[in-house]
Amino acid sequence: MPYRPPDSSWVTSGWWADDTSQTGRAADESISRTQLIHLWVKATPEPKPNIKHLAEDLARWMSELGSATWVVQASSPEAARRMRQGINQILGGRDIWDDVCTVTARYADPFARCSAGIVSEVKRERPRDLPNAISTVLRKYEDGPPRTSARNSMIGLVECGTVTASRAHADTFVENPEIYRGAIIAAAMRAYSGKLTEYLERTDDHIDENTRSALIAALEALTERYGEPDAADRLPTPAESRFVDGTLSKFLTARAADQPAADTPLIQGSTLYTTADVAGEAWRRANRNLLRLHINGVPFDDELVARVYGSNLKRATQDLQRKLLREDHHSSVSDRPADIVAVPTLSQLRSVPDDDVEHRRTVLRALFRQAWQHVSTSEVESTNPWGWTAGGTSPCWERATVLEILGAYANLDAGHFSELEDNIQSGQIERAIAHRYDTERPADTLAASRRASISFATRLLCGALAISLNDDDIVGGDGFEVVGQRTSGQTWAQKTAEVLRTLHEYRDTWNLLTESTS
Amino acid sequence: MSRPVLFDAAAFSWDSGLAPAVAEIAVEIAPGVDIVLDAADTSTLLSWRVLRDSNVQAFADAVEEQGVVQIIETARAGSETECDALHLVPTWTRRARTSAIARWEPSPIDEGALMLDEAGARYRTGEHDGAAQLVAAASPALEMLTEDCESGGTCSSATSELALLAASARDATIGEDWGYAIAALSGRIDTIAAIGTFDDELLMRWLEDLVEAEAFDLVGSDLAGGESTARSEVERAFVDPHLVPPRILEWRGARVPELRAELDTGVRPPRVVLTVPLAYGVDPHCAEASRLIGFAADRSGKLLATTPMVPNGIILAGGFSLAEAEFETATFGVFDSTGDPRDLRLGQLAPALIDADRNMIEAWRLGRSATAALHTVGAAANEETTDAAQSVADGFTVDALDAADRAVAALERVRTSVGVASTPLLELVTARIDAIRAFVERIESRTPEPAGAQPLLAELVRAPQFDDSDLDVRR
Repeated sequence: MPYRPPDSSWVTSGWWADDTSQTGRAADESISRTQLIHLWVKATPEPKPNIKHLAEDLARWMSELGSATWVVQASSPEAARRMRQGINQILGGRDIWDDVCTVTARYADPFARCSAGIVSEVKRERPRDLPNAISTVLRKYEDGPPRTSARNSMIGLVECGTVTASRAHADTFVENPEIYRGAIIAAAMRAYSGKLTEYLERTDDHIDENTRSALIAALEALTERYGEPDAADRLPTPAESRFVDGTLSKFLTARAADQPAADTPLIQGSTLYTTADVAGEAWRRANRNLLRLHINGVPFDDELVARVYGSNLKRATQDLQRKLLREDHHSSVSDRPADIVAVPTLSQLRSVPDDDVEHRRTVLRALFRQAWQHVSTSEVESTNPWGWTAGGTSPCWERATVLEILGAYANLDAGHFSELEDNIQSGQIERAIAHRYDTERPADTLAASRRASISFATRLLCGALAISLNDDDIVGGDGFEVVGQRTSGQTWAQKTAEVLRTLHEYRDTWNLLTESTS
Repeated sequence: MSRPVLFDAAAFSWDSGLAPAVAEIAVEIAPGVDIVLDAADTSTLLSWRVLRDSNVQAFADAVEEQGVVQIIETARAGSETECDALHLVPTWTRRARTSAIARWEPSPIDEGALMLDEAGARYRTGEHDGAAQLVAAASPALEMLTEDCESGGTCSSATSELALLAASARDATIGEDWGYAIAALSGRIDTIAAIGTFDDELLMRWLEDLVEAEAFDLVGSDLAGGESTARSEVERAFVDPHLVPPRILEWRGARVPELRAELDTGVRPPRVVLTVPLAYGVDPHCAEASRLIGFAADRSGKLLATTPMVPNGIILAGGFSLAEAEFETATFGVFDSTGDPRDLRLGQLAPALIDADRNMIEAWRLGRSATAALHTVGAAANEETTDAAQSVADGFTVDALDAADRAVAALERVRTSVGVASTPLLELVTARIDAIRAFVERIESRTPEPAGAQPLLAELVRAPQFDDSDLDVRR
């Protein structure tokens, strides 16, 4: 679509003053710059950016322009002063304000539309798959830093217009802003990715793996398309990384000389983490901290390195110990809701008597078979609300994958259940599907993206298992409880859910009652 | 109410046998020490469980009552012993309250402020690293709140709570290489807090916002009534709050159904399109939204079909084939794929149970709004503001009691249902009704909140207003 500059014909002499045609009183033409901007952002025609952003950027551009010599020459010294100073002073003088409005309409308005309009672009690059709370707090970075960067680049970078350098520059921009738009967007995105990088560094040790990888994926995509994140928050250069690696290695070599190097378990009786894991984790964290300090120009001395390493070693030890205790604790609390439906079922296979095991295997096979049946008759290719086409194939990759997984379990030989146990562990299904996606790189997916595809397939599978698990023809019957009793630790709602399931045998009675009353 | 302490090879446990008035929340005092409370009363323990090798002293330190260590030692020695209901100390009551609101608050809130609330609560209960992690995650929100506070957007009660939380945040992150940034924000907030503003105008606006935020219920009821003109091919359904992550789907009060199921008979076999709006400001591509599964069940409680719910603009949608006859008697819902599908409440009695839960969540939040209105208006406020706050609070209290009445009525329907020959269900329902009656009595007698249960920062500031009208929702 060819660029059309915003219509400024509405900017007539004294437009801000009250309409006096009805009252017949003299119009009050006194106004402050702040008030003028307030009226401006409402009056300037659509489409326009968020008016709060527009107002803020308009104020910045008016100040910027009011300081440029060519603007003083093109309007008047007083008009230029009013653009940059005493922004809350209420002043009269229609002619002077008219001059201000002329400059604003010609330059400040299109500049502000460009810099404030950046926000919409940034929103499109929002990292996906973040927990809502994180996604919400990160929105703070969508409007502030990118707009500042857009303005600064428009002023300072040739490829972004150097719009205040001269009247000719400003005119060139206004007449064809599209030439500069790509470079301005890229500058804004680098500010955004700079803030995301900083956020990732702050939270790196703490956030869960999914959130971390979602942020990293977003950062990689942003870097590829718009360049390295901004310098203030940039990633280290290879030289900087090498320097810090060297410093840390030297420090640790000297330290190792007077310390035993035996690798011992972190907690007695657990082999999950050893002192070597702690050392590795401490190295990673100390390295990152030192890099940040190095990038910020902090000079290193032995004492600083020792202090940074010491505090990170302490934290790494505590964190890993805590993680161990937690895992230990969780595995001993059997009534905790599991992440994926099949887990309690399968883990309980271990603890039941032998004759029960055979029974359970039969039930499990029936369960997976029925889930397979559900998926095989679910025409997701035609019933999905997006009208996805899956490249015209049916079953699509997602459904085919789920059918294959369920089919394998439904036909599993009795001897293979330990394998099954290994394969289906908490959260493993999604990872298994993701792995399959990455190895197969399918073209016949229903979903438009990798993430959406994996998530769709996972839920297709979980949904089918839910149908089977809630079907008392399979798991109810003779009172056999495939999923085990969950008495302690249940919430009131869970207890009622369980009671309702045991009431399913009253189905027929209910149906009779309903039919007779309706 | 003394009840026996139970023990087995792994753990000691105690259960009050009471139901929650609103819903349970679980809090981990220390690894291996887990307690359960009612969201409506975050100081009284409903049940607790202590692993044999866990930190019993940490548990003893978290409760007001003396003698917990001796009770556990007695049980450890193999003797029968009893325990009365325990109560948390204020710092732990606060922490439980942040968990309660994080899990059960249904309407949009400032998620960043809530993270800071939780960070502060963790810091004050001695979990310094956990606090630092949350401060890291919430740091952009702290910046935003500082700016709001500097531009005069927060009333004095919120500003002083923010100042306390920022100080905790500063202390928790003193050893981090980015701690200086938090310290700077804390300093800026202290400056504003020290000025002490007369904020009657702000307070009035805040009260208006509070009322407006609750008004959806009335509007919603009208809308729900208006649906009677809908064709028979459209069904409405309520989301079970126990099955979905909080504040992801729209909530317009307990009585407004969120789900819409529409039967498309133009295709063979007929197809159901299930839709549910996302809550205001929720990113359609956030992790929680991509975990939801929609379902249809028949009246007897048999699941007929499930579908992954996918974003389509600011709604989630899913679809499956369903026969016309099945559609007419089907019920619909959504659940979180990471949850346990056995927790689905299905069948004839399920709607009444879900109705009771929804109404109690509403009663709870209205009760909290009443408290927040009074809490915000300190002694410094003028008479007009004080009166306004009192009248707002009175209005909320009346509405809260109405919602609790509706919950009891729903449970009474279950109790008197024909054909229910289930003693366990009757017991559960009776216990719940008792808990709700106790909740109502606390409101009616104006029982003061226990120390630590005063409103959170997230309850004192408005949810951020995001303008996404420029976002191409189909991206």
